[in-house]
Amino acid sequence: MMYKKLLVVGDVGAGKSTVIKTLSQIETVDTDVTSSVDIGKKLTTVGIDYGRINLGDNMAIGLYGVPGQKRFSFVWDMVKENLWGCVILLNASESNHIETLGFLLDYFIYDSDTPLVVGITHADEVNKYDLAAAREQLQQRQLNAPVFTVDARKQNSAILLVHTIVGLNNANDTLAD
Amino acid sequence: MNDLTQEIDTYFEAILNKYFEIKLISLCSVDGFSVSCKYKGIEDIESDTIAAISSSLFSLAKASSKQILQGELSGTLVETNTGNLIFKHVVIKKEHYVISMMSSKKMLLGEANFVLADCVKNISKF
Repeated sequence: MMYKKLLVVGDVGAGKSTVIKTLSQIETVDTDVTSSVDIGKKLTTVGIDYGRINLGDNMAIGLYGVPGQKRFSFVWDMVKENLWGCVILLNASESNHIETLGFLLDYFIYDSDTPLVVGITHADEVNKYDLAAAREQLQQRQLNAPVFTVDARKQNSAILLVHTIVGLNNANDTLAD
Repeated sequence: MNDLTQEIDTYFEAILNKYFEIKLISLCSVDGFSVSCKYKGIEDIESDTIAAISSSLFSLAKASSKQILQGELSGTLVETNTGNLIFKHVVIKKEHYVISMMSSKKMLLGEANFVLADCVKNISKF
C-alpha cells in the first residue's frame, strides 16, 4: 500500500474540517475547540485534522487539515514536506481571502512542484463571485493551478478536489517519463 | 488590560519569583489567544507563539486521549534534555483555557506537575 499526504489549508471557516469529514473513510481525528472570538461559527481547528481515503487497492491518501492563521505556522512546518498535493480553501465571504491565498501560496507552493488546487467556498453567499482575483495571485507567482468553487459539505464537490490533484499528479508523472 | 489578565500577571510573577527553576508560565484560551505569559532567564519569546503551540498540542493530546485512552484529558507533557513543558486545562469563570509551565531539568517532574496543579486550583477561583 502506498501512503500519500494531501494537505488542506485555508481561511478560518473555509470548510477544511468539513472537507476532511466529508471525504474520510475513517473516523477523523479532529482538534476543534470552541472559539473565543466571533468567527461566524462555534468551533475552530487549532491542531491537525486527520482523515484517510483509499484510492484503488494500493493507494491511501492521508488528509491533513491545518489552521490557516499565521500564528499556527509551526503546525504548517510539521506537514509541509513531501506533499502529494495541496488544497487551499478560501472563504469567499471573508474580505481578506485573496490576501490569505497570497501568503499561503508563498509558504506552501512557491518554488515547489506540489500539485495545487484552490477551492472557493461560501461563494453562494457572495453576489456574482469572480474567480479572477484568485487566478491573478497564481499568475503573479507563475503558477497554473485550477481554481473553482466547492461546497465542502457535499461529497461530489469535495471529491472533485481530490480527483483534480490525482489528475495533476498523473500529468506530472507523464511529463517526467 | 482587563482585570483577569492583571490578576493572572500578578499571580504568575509570584510563581516565577518563588520557584527559581520555573522559567515560563503562560495562560491562553483553548483556541490559542494569549491571556498572560511571564518568563525569566530565557530569550525573548512571542507570547502569541506560546499560546498557539499550547492550544495545538493540548488539542492533539485531547484527541489522543479521546480516541486511544477514551478518557478526559487533564494535562500533557513535553520532556526534553533541558527541561519540561507541562500543559493543563483550566476553567476560569466558565471559560476554558490552557495553562503551560516550563521548568528546567533541575526541577523534578513530579514537583513541576504539583506546582502547576496547584496553580490550576488557585486560578480557577479567580
